[in-house]
Amino acid sequence: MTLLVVVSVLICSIVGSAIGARLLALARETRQLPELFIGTGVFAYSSIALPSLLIMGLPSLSLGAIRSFQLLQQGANFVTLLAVLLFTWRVFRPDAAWAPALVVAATALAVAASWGSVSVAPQTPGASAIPEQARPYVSLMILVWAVAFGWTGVESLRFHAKMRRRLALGAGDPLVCNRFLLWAIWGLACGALDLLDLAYNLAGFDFSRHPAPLLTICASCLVSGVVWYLAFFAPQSYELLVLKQSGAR
Amino acid sequence: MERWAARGAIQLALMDGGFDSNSVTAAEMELVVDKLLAKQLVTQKVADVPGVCAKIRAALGGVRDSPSTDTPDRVFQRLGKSKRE
Repeated sequence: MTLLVVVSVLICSIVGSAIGARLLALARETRQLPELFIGTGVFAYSSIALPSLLIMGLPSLSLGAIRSFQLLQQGANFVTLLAVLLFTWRVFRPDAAWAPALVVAATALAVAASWGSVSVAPQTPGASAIPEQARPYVSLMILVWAVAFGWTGVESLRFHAKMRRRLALGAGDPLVCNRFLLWAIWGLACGALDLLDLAYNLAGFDFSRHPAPLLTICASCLVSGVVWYLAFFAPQSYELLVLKQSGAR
Repeated sequence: MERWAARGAIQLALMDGGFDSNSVTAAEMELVVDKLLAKQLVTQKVADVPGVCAKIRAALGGVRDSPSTDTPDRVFQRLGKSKRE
């Protein structure tokens, strides 16, 4: 199980870092905020948060070093969450009055949850288990993540439905339509996995050893890696397949 | 045809086509007029449907799109921009 976790986290980290860097390069070229938000989120999560999570599990690490990586991971996770929220607001609901209120509320809850989580330092080297005192804050953080993922997933699914209607009229790009679907799958799958993690946390599972939460980590990493690759750096063979299926319809 | 009824018919046709009134382009609007609006006007028992559609099409000829409007589809188009393009 540990090997499966390490492999899936490494795959997601490598794929995500490359795609995050590409999206940031695109943001530099276009000077547009959506690219900047999503590039920052994918890059921070893949190149900082995930490797920090792996390193924290190393038995040879001192408590001081584990503490540093814990802070680094929390910081990167927070940046990613904020990026997903800002991206969803800016892209899907730029004119909705409730959207900035949701972003502010979720950010405030995430700050409180991160603060509470890092206020409890790890007790033993090699264990990334959640200390009991930190569990309520972790539950709150997971809930905010689930809301952010669910929101972006639902908005993208809504737009995917619109794009399908446009395609039926002969307007729109099938690849863009498919990209909305992929982003919706990612958001909804990660949101659902977060709700599972919330249940595991409330049940008091050890996240570093119990197979159920370890499986959700594997699943979310693999879903993220595959979706980011197909959505933002798809191979030509995949694009041709999407175009062919669209033509067949 | 009343102005509000015409606006409603166009709004419904846009929704049927998956478009938003605040971001639809002139080319997309022409498509909606050609393929959806006529049906919408027939259901509302509007007289001279081809004439109404022709008038709208003619008016669209003078409309210029604003390239500054950033819509979700334009964002997702950019995000998938590959090195090949």
